[in-house]
Amino acid sequence: MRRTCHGSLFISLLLGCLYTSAVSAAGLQEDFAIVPEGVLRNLAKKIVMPKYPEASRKRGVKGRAVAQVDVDKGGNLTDVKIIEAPDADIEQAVLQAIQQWKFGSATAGEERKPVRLRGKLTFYFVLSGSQARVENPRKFQ
Amino acid sequence: MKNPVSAKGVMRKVEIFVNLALIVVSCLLLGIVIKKTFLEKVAPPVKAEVVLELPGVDWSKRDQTLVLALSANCHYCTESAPLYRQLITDISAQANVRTVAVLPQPTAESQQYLKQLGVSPDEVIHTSLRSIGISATPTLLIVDRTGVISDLWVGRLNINNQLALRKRLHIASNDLATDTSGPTSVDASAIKRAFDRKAPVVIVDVEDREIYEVGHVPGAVNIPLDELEARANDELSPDDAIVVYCRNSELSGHAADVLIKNDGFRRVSILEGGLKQWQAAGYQQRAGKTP
Repeated sequence: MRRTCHGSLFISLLLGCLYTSAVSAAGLQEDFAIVPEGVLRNLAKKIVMPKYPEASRKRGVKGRAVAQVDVDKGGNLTDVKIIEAPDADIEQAVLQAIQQWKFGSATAGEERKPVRLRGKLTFYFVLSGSQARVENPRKFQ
Repeated sequence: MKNPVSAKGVMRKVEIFVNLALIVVSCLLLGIVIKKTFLEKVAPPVKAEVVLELPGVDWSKRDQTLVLALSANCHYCTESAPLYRQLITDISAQANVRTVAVLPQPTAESQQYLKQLGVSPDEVIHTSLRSIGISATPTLLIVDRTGVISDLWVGRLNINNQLALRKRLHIASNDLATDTSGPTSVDASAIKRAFDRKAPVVIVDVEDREIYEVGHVPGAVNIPLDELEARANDELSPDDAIVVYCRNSELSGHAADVLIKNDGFRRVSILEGGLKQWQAAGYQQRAGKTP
């Protein structure tokens, strides 16, 4: 019985250590280089502009949408979060468009190590008369 | 068939030539090192509270002298010309302050360079910058009547340093920036006065959305610092008087830099002390999303 207790204790400690290592490794993976929008856009190899949702246009909804994107070391999009959007339809349109973006890989430091990137993308949903269009910020036009 | 004796002779000549070339280059390098190390006067690096000795300059003429240590080969100096022009214009309105430009180039060349930049200091001095303890350009110093350096800044000045320099030269303005005033820092009462007289002023809170929503200056728009560069041209006008602020002034200097350097905004002020100062002054704040 006593031997069994010691055995359980050892296994628990081992599992605990493994868990701690796994968590710290995951923590390291959370490190991102935060980049300005201009840098992120320059790295983009494929850009898909969001479409103006018909429902939003009919309701006269316009405004700014901002998304936060994460890109892995290989340039693959790993996460998109919509931080701000005038309505749910526009949010969905931005999400669908950005999910098709492709990025080049980025490096940092003297050793030019590949890095994960986090940055924001901004779009303006503009209504003028019967015209509805989606624009990039003027800075990047 | 080649003559091995003549080939050997050619090789010998090449060898002698290479050796002579190496000796000449070594002598030149040695000469440069000796000149730099022993012959050129190198003063200890300048720092605040030490006396600056500049040949032919009488510090006692004015209460303060702004010394611009520049070089015609320094691109930061050239890029900073608008700031120097503005400072000299502002200083010229004050009887007790003057400007002296110090350059390593001969006086005629220095004057030509400054003329091209439109920078006209009261005096132009030619001297080796190393001999007066200045190792980098641009370096800006404020020297008092006794020749003691009271302040110095090395490199291109960011907005916070520009504001500090203006304050030390007593040309700081506690009013909204104009087209020609350069950046200013304002206190909460200056913004309140602008509100009261319905002056066209845009207040920009550069904190993240969550922080802005907790409380902000009434009427302030929220453009988080990391979005400012992308959004400024679409959401702000360079003609507007803009006041940027954050919670306690940590981000607003960067925000003003982004606007002025990247987007050509000229009328940019910083709310000194940020929202904390606004609250301390007893003014109301508002909660909720950006209007």
